[in-house]
Amino acid sequence: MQFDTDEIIQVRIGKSLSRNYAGYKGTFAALIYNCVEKKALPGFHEKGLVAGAEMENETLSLRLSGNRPDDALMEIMDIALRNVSAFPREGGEARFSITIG
Amino acid sequence: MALKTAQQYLDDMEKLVPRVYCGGKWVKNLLENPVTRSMVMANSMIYALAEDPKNKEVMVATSHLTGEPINRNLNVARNIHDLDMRQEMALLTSQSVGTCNYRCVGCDALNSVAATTWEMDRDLGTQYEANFNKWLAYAQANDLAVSGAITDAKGDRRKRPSQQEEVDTFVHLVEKRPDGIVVRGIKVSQSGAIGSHETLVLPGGALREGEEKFALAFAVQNSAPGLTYICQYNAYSAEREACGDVCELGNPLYGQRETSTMVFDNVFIPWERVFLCGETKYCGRMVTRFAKAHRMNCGGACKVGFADLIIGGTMLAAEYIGVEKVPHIQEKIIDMVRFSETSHACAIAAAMRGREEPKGSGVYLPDDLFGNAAKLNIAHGFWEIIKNAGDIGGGLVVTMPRMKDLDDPEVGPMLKKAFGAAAPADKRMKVAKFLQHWSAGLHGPGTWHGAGAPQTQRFMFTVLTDFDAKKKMAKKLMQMED
Repeated sequence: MQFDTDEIIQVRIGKSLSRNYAGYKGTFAALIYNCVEKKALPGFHEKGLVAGAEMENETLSLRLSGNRPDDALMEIMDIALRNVSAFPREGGEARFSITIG
Repeated sequence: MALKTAQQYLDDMEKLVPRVYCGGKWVKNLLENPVTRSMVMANSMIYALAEDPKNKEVMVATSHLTGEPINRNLNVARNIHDLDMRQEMALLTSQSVGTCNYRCVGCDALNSVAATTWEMDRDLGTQYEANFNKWLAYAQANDLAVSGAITDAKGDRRKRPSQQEEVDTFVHLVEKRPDGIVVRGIKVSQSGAIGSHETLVLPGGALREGEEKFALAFAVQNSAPGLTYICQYNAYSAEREACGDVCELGNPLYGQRETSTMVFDNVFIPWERVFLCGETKYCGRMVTRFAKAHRMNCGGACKVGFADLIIGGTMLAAEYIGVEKVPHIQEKIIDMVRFSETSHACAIAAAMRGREEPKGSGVYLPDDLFGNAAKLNIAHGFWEIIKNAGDIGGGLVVTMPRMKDLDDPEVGPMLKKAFGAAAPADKRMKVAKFLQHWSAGLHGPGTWHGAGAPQTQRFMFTVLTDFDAKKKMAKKLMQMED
């Protein structure tokens, strides 16, 4: 039996850095709620990391505080995604995306 | 990936950062804090057991959803063999770590949810089973460590959940949204939730009409924003933090049972992860089915594994002072085996007499009466077992100095002289510390309350036993007229 369990989320940072994650359905909704309503990223408990979050056309645009290089931003998002049981996935078509600015 | 290795689980834990408070500190890395590390290492051993081919029959099952091999901790029992292997897994894991298999409560909870969501969908036309199966397939495919949360803080026991002055003493619904629900409240005594990927949350007990907001079952990721874990903290936690070398401790790698209080502060749960929301009629069944499974496993089998370790340690203690052939020592060890194996027999009976529940669901649950007998028997038997361990282990179990004092140039030689017997002092002290872990540690009350305090099993005996039939049998044999 095949189960349609995954939703693929693409994390995009700048123009060249992107990575896909597969989480269980609802993962993106949880990220939206937490980023937009609670200004919180899973796995990060200090206040103020999420400086802004907006949702438009299945894309979550996140603004993180501090002036971090792209690699560091990707590391933050990697931790955040893993903390909602979403894991790196090679390939697959992403239905949702997160852009970091 | 259907089976995660221990190393892959540890790699996950390096990146999982739940909001954890332990002994006055916020824990930034579960593997760097000595107390939380013991819990994570125990869970990693559960993964390692499934890697070992000799444990395959016990630790690995076949998913009824996908046909793939999965860790048995994520299996829904579909037949008697599954039930039997489930209780054998409880035995093997407790023998191997000397503390909780922290995936155990989650395993029994998911069996209960599988049975009850099937029933709700049949009766009410809901989609809970479909949601649950998809979530379970995801958890199986990623071999997630899933803990279970059942016990609410409960507040004033004279009052119903909605009558509590502090409504957060029960996990409850705050808001229904198009994409999910928002929940808040407190669950207590949650074994190993901190080092799990996810927790399966069940209602804490039966609920009535009007208590819909407390009727909730869902899966939550352990780092969901709004979720805080406040770890237990006791003399054993302090000792672990202060000892410098875990070899000083009774259970060096895996420690005592580590639990936490889980505080939900407006946590968002997507609908795909919600398996019961408002259906009060089914809460009692969900909890009872969980208890049915957990009493066979946590009561009947897990504590038998602990007993095996205690019996082994006690026999070594007897040998090290040269009393292993003394008749009353042998008699006490035989009594320890009697208490232990009687409970294991009840667990095996509960598995063998298990049956499909509800009919047509395909989910097998253990026999209720034998499962309760297993738990009630070990709740009392465990105190006898640790009493005999303390008896045979001698006063040294609680009067010993530190192991590292043996290396002190001044007092070391004195200690070696004092405690050398039929075996050197270091062996005696090591086994005394091991028995201290069991007989003067947290496991006595833990075994008493785990899977429900004995009063709940006594109550179940009154419900499940046909006393009238027994009276009729007696009257018939006596030739007594009604």
